[in-house]
Amino acid sequence: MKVKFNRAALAEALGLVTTVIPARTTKPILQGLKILAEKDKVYISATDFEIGITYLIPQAQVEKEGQAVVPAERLAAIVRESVDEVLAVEVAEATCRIKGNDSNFTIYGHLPEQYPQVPGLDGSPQIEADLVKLQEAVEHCLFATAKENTRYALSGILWEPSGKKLTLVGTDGRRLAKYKLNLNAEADKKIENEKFIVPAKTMALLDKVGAGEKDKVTVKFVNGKAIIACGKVVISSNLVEGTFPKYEDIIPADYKNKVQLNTAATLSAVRRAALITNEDSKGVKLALGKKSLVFTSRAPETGDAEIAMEVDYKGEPMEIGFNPQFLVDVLRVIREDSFELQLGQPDRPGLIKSGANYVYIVMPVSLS
Amino acid sequence: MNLSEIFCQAKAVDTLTRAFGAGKSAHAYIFEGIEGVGKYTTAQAFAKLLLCQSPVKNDSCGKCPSCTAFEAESHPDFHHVYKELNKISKLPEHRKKQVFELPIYVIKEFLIEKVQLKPSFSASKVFVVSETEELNAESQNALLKVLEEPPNKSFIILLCTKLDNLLPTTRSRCQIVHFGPLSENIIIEKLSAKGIDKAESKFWARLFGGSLGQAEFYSNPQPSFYKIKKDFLNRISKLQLGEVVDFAQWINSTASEFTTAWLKLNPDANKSDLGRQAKRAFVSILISAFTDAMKMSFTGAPAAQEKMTNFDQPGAIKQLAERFAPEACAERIERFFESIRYIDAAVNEKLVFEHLLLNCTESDIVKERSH
Repeated sequence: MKVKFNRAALAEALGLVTTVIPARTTKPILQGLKILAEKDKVYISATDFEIGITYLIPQAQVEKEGQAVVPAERLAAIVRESVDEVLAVEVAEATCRIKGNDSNFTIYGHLPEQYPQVPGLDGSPQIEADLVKLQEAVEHCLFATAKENTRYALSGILWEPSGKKLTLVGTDGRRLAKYKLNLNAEADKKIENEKFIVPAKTMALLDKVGAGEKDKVTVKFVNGKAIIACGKVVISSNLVEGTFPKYEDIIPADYKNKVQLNTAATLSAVRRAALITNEDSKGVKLALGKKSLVFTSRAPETGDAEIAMEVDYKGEPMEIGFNPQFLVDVLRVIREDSFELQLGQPDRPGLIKSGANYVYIVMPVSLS
Repeated sequence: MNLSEIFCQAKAVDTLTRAFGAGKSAHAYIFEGIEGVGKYTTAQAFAKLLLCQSPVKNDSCGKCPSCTAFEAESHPDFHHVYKELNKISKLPEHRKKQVFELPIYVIKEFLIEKVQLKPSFSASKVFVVSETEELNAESQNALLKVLEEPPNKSFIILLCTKLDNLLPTTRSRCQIVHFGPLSENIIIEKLSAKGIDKAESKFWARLFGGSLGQAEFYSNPQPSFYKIKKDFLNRISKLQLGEVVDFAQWINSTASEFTTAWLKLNPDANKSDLGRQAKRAFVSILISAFTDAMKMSFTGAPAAQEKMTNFDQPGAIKQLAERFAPEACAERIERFFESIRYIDAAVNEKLVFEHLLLNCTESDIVKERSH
């Protein structure tokens, strides 16, 4: 195999592909990436047995077709440190030579036949959307997924396609984020009313894919896998087994206390109030009265804080406590200038709505 | 390797294939038996069959993509869980730890978390857990839910040398398959095929009571443990009180020499495990020697020699038999077994061996502890 790569394009591709390579593994071959050169196309793929990624490298000239498995970290480092505009990669058996203007590297890889298969997208896709929009939806839900939880279904994002809409839900049991996304076309009837749980790791990888404004993304669920294709990149991932909780039932619909708040100002207020909290008293109290919203926090032997905000509020005065981190997380991802906060009783979850698509609910903390 | 190629474990293999043929394979198995009788080899072959896409006559086909990947050791749905996996844990604090038992974080990260993902290209996943006798109660409790009903119709095979160490709750969730010791002739045949001397093969076969794996391990000619064993027994048979401290020192340094040599042969192995293995071997040899001495006292030299473990050193055994009456031997054997427990519990090895060797002299310095 012999290919001439544009160094910058290759570096960009490797930056993404190497994030899949496991840092430590019992199977050394997984620390390599597979280069496949055919006719006028060059693909680079990597897998850790759970997630697979295949990247179509632009601006590459194939001089001799073939395939190779090359140690990923080394190749990435060489490409990163080189200054040449063009790098020639030539592989014979398992020996890989990389040539620049003044440089010559030889690194030893593995035989490509031993490399596990990385699935590609074949057959017709079941879901199609704008990549930017899907990434926005993922960002709105990803932070709410469980990091450490024995209920593994919560460690992923739920995908629920229905008609021209796709609902994404992430929850860790104490908060829940739901985003409704418009699809470009109706989802395949075959997956109507089905639920898929995609691991958070896969969703984070999708979020890292560089997206142009017009890039489309297509998704297919097959044999317990999700195969996501966007532009030059195809990501495949094993789905999570298990049942996702019935989230519809816990989203409150009867709240009357509603207030419109400025996103940036609220974020700043919560962060400041959070400064005077510690491990034992993590809560920040929100006191909602006529025309004002006051954030207070108090930690024993440390001190207290009070931040007041002017608001236009007509409902009942009320007080409720929240874990400030759970508010900061959501306020960081909201892109609109303002959002709506809805409250019921102090022992019921708070609800945040942003735009028509996004709903976030968060359990209160007791401050007594 | 296929199930049909497994030798000497016909009963175990038969249980597995018949259940598979009837479509009634259990989702959790315990493969029980002493070390080195093919539990892992069988588990691998059985896993290959469970994952195979088109089994032929209750055995894996060897041709489908699943079998090919399995042979290449890159099957995404086959997971081997063992304690040294801590070295590749995602958390640095786990990677640095020296592991003595099978820790809960290895079970969580490499079994309980992995079992939740759907299989890649077979219909199910197979997990083989080695050394489950070292699972503590905490890890076993974490496993219970998964053992009861593995997600994704996965199969979990626990390999265990001491069934007593598993909680009743763990045992009741699994089907237990017993692996018996191998016959002496088979071990001699296998070792001879590797160029090991027949007398040596016979000794190892007897010492480890039919464990081919152990016999193969210790009969490794570079460095030769057998030579050391001969030396060791000769010295033991004549041991005087005054030599004990120096001799204990010698055992220790020899054991660590072997540990280093074995570590070179197998860099991935756990160093403290290998160290304990070397020390345990010395104690096993002592036990075998005193057992032989007992046999000799009862049945007389010529009759006993045929059946002795140390048939190759009748002189040394005779000396022991002359020095120690059968009752005295029995008492000492009991204490030697105690020492194995000390070694496993990582008690200061110098003290263990001094204590051990004092028992091999006529002096009554070491009195039996009051129980």
